[in-house]
Amino acid sequence: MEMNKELPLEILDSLSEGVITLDKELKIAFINLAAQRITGLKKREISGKLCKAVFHCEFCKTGCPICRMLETGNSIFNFDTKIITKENEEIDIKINATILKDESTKPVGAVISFKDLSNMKNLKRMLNEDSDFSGIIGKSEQMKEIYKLIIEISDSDAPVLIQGETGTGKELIANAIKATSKRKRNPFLKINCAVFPQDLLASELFGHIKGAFTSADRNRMGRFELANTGTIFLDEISEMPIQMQTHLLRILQDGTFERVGDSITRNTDVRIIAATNQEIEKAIRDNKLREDLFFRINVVPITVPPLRTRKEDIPLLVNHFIKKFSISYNKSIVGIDKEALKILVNYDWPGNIRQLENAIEYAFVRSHSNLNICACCLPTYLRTVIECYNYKYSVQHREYISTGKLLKLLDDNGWNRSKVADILGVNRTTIWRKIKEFGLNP
Amino acid sequence: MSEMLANQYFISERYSEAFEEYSKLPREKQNNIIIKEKMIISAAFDENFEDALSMIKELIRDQFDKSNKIKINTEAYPSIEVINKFESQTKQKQGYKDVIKMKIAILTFFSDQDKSLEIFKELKGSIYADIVTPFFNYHIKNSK
Repeated sequence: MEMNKELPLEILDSLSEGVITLDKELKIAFINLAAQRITGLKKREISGKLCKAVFHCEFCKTGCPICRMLETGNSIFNFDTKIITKENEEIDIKINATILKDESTKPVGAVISFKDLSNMKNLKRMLNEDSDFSGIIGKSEQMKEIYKLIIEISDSDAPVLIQGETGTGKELIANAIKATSKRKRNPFLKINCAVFPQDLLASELFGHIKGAFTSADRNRMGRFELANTGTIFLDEISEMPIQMQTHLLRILQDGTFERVGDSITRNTDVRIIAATNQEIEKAIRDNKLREDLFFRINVVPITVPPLRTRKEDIPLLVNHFIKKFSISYNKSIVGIDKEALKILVNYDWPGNIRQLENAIEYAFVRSHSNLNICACCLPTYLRTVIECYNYKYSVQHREYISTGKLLKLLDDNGWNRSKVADILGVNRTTIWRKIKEFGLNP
Repeated sequence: MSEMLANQYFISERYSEAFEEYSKLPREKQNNIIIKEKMIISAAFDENFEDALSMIKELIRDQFDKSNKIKINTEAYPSIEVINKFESQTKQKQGYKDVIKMKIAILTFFSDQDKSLEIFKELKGSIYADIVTPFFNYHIKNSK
């Protein structure tokens, strides 16, 4: 590409972000030093090669950001994706990209800059250390049975139906099935059948041809075509319009379908994982789910247990969420009081893990202490009136700290001034000042 | 209309969309040998086989007669694995009719010319003889 000759290469090479330029055939025209370091690839190895052959980006076929830019004319900002390095290591990157145009505004190339998110990945890895199976938390017998089943079906392409109450983690189970399957490196698309109106859902799933409806100004592939050779996760399957369930049944039977408005029959090779939080028998009785479709997708049934039936997993989940929110809220909360944990374990959690996560997040937001979550910070629906030591001190004694109480707190906490400051909800320098003012000594 | 978008669709194996985008390019662009080859491949993969045939005839007229050897762009063009998969899926659906053979012969011409030659041999007495013969001659000429 002509522009490369004009670019000050030293400047591009001095950047910590990776920069590559592509020509109009999507071949790599330039790569800076940071991009070579991140990918492990040398300039001479990749110059002139197709970007997909080099980066093996997870979105190459299903939603390439460059493709999206070309279709919409908009630049891409902070787009998260993954690439495969020379050492065959999958790394997370965040990309910004823009299209280069000639004088007649036709696209002639693209500039892509990207950041290595390995540090973020380390944090994720730290969180995943809690995980017992592919990102799922839980050591209860019911969960162990599910892990065993997922491993047993890893060589199979059989459809899976995941049932479970809302918030039980059905999507995590789907992720784990895909991650352990032989299709793990192939496309994985997720679609929530409840969020699309009928016509739009048909177009989303099966694609459409130009002129099929008013706004169909070009042919478009649907998710089943894009997910070819991979896996598709159909969440809330019982919300899919009954007419469309017939089309889905046909895909399950012989892998064929037609785009909306088209008469040409197409093939796809997609593994289907479906999920529902509805009671299946009732959905069939109410004509919301076709019985024949149910039998087709229910080849491998997985029922995710509600949290109230696996209370032994609650402490593990609580610790996991504490770690997660410590990072995102930048608070150094390290645990939870016994009393607070007891409340959490005794509660029935109708909204399951999602509700538990929200409760922990609420407690983080409200927490005055930087040590443990205490019972008084939990959502009010979990507790009545709780006499809380930390809260009492933080509210009542923020303005007035007596000599005796400060001395007791310092003694109780091994004269750790930072810890006492956290308990009282004041700055550490205030504690130093008070110690000096009161003439206290260890 | 965007050649770059068409190229993106092509390397992503979204051949129907690639053909549609290439078709929007000005005629002189479509006459570019590389674009013509990509259009033929896209058309053969999708349901635009009649377009593929007419473009192949043009390609034969413009290139073979001038004794130009076709350069195979192995990286951008569909791999033999992709073609084999397409072949088995289409056979399963429609049987191994001459039209399917012709499609595979065209596709393999740009990736595995030995296989392409084998299929062209089978098609010599078919309704595609007018296209097969020049291809056959091309193979013989270039294998010498």
